[in-house]
Amino acid sequence: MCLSSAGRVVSVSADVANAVVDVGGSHRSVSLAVLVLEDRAPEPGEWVLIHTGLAVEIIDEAAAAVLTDMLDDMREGVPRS
Amino acid sequence: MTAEGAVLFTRFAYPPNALGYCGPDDPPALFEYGTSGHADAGLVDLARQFEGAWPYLELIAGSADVDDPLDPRVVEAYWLGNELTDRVTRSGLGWHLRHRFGDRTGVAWSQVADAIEAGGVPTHAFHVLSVYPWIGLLRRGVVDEPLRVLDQCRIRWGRLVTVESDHARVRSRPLVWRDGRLELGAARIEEVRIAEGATGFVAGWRPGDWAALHWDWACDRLDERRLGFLRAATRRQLDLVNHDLRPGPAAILS
Repeated sequence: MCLSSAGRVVSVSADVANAVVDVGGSHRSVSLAVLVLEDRAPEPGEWVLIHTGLAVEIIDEAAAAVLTDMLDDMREGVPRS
Repeated sequence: MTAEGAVLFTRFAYPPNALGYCGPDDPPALFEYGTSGHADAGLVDLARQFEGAWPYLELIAGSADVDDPLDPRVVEAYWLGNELTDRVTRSGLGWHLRHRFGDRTGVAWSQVADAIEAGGVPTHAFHVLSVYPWIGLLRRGVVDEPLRVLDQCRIRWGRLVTVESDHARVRSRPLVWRDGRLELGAARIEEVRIAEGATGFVAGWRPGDWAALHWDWACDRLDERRLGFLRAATRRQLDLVNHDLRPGPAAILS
């Protein structure tokens, strides 16, 4: 029932277990467990796809913009076609 | 709107909302609605803000000629499964998901479409197991975290063993990833919340009760009928996942 969101990495913990990400202006902590297992820890400034408290994929800024735009439209009730 | 359906929705929606994963940023309000049994326009507004679940409720209601997406039969169908999900045609489910989520999903959409064609029906289990990215990660060899999320995020069932104030010990069967298949493992004991500060969604829990579990909460008591629907919906979805051996959908639609 949850939807993914995109966040920009603000900082990464020293042990690379967690990151603080900026999602629409609010900061939240996410786990990097999945990305670390795939040897893909993000750097500050990169965008990640977040799902149920975990960063699951590093994405580019354009993909993040598309996702954010899509979610904004859904919240406004705008259908996609 | 009946209070029964709206409150039932809230009881299952609260656990991930309280964890900050989805829905409006107001867990205390949801908890109050879910525990008081009271429903009003404010609760409907909160429910609409669950962007992942609300489209399914609208679809199930529309397909069953039910006016209210928060009708208890509709809400039950989404969370647990019941006969209403089979009234949704495959083309209807496909059109609805694409209409609501759009076609900006690239490869992901074709895989969701295939899951629908293979027999997917609009339940929470379908969303978790066929739309979320976790199955794809399992197939790429990343197991522990995806498996934990899948198991906690699906609606699972368990039988209460002991009840102690705000918590209960429950016997349940976790998901396991074995030889590239997702299955139910051997029963184990887990601890879940039944209340917070002595206030919970269901009163009078007793050992032997069957509970519907979502994340760390026991959300509702299951009678034989609902338990049967939940088991059947879970089995149907696991069969669908295990039939499809490709990587899971890309995460953007999740």
